[in-house]
Amino acid sequence: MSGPSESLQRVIYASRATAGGELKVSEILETARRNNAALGVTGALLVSGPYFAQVLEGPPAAVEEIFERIQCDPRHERITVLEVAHPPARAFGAWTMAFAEEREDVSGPTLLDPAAAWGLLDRLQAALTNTAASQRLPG
Amino acid sequence: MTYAAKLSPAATDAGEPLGPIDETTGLLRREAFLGALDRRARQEEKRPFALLAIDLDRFKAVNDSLGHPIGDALLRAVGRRLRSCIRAGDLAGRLGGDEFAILLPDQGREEDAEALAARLVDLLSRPFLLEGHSAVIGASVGIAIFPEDADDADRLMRAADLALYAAKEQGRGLVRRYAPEMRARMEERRRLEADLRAAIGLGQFELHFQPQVSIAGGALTGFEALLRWRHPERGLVPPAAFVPLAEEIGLIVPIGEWVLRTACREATTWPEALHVAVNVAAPQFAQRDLFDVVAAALADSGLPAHRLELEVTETSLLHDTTRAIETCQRLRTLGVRISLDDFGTGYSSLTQLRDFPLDRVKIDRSFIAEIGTRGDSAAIVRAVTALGAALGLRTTAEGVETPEQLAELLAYGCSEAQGYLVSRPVPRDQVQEMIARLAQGQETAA
Repeated sequence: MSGPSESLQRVIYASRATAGGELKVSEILETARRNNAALGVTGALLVSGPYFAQVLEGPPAAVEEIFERIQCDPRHERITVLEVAHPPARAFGAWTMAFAEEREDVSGPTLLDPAAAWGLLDRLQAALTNTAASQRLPG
Repeated sequence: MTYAAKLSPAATDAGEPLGPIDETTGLLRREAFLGALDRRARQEEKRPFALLAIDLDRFKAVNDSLGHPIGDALLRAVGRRLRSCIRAGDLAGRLGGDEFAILLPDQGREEDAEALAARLVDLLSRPFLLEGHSAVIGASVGIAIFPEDADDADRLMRAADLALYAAKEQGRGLVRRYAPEMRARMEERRRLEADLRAAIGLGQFELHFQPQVSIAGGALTGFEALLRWRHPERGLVPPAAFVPLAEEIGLIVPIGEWVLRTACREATTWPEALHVAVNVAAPQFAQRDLFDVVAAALADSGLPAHRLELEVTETSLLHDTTRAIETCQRLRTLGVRISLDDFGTGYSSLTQLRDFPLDRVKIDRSFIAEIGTRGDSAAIVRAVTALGAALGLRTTAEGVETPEQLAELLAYGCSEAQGYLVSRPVPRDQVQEMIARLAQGQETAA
């Protein structure tokens, strides 16, 4: 799943679980994988305590549609867009939504720092190489 | 983390035609929305219902910086988010560019309206991703409840607007319920605005002058011209009570020009060694012709350019830095001196001190007041003074009130002082007396 750069868009954002709310990572992943597969979107989710960072990549209109749905989810808040880019190729082409978890004291609030966007892709890819929770794109 | 929100249509009242829909947002158009509001307000029984007036914050900035197509995409997305928040039977309308309203025909409880408003504010403050650009705006909401706040559609809409105005005035991103005193405040504001518009023509403005002295020798170096408004009923109105309004309604530009002309004319009656410092507001910088206005004021008064000092604030330089730098450079070529006012309170940046064509830095009064009590304030004053000297700038301490402060400033090498210790600002007819008094004081000291 890769094409010329104009047809591929990547967005990276960070957020945190809404205080007092209930957020099950398994539910998020299930919904994400279903919706992403339908629209040709791939990506990865990094969870660190109450903090999230997510990468979405795919056709621009599809990425924007998925992103908008995520924005309206009341289960998370303090959303910060870290990067919007048109990369030449997908970084997570093999996953509808890869998943990795870091101990909170390792990262935490720094996920919300725009400067974290650079390291984030590497951290995600490294974390994914030995995580059983990641799911390959069927087919 | 996806969440499939069911989108309610803009209007779902089965018994009524939906009315014309705004193509961009998918919400009811203004006339259709106000018509529905009017019909609801005319129902026989006076069953309570709520009306929300919503304004986007910073929409114009996004529209201006990213262009109309993105602005339209943003409005479409805002329309979708608004529709996702309301329930079947509720009506959402677009009243103007970035103004919206929601009618809750079956909800008259303040708590319910406030809960929806809070959800709207939260949802609209979340980032939008639009054609490859991320944009963040916000929203303010005003709430009015029928029939408690008003019992006809027109007055209810105005009540919601007044509440919205209060929300925006108090900081944006807020929700406010209408209160009767908002009407009184708005009327007072309207009167103040009308009075202010008439003030130049009626000759109600006057300048007061506060001396600036050399710290080392105590000699008078010049005066800062300060604007005062003498209103027949209000008395002497302090600048803080009218300058922000004058800036908002664009009156600061003609008022600023009056100040400049009057100050230059006044300074021609003083000894030649004395300068006059005049404040320049941000909107004056935004005007293309600030240079021409200054040049004309100098030419008409006959004041030599080197005797005029313009005091600019850090914020006024931020808006369009390139143009501000260019204007200041041209003014300096003329001989006019530029001074950076209130240094330390705004977005004080050392880069600005280096890059901006300046002659002087005025250290904000808040640091001077704490010289004797807070080590860190004293350190800041010392550092700014040293930095100014290194960059070839003169430094003026604002708000000097005690001999102890003056002694400290002398030790730091600060060049000039201004404040109550020397004198309060005085009306023009006391300036000559002040010049004489300060000259005499100096002789006594010598």
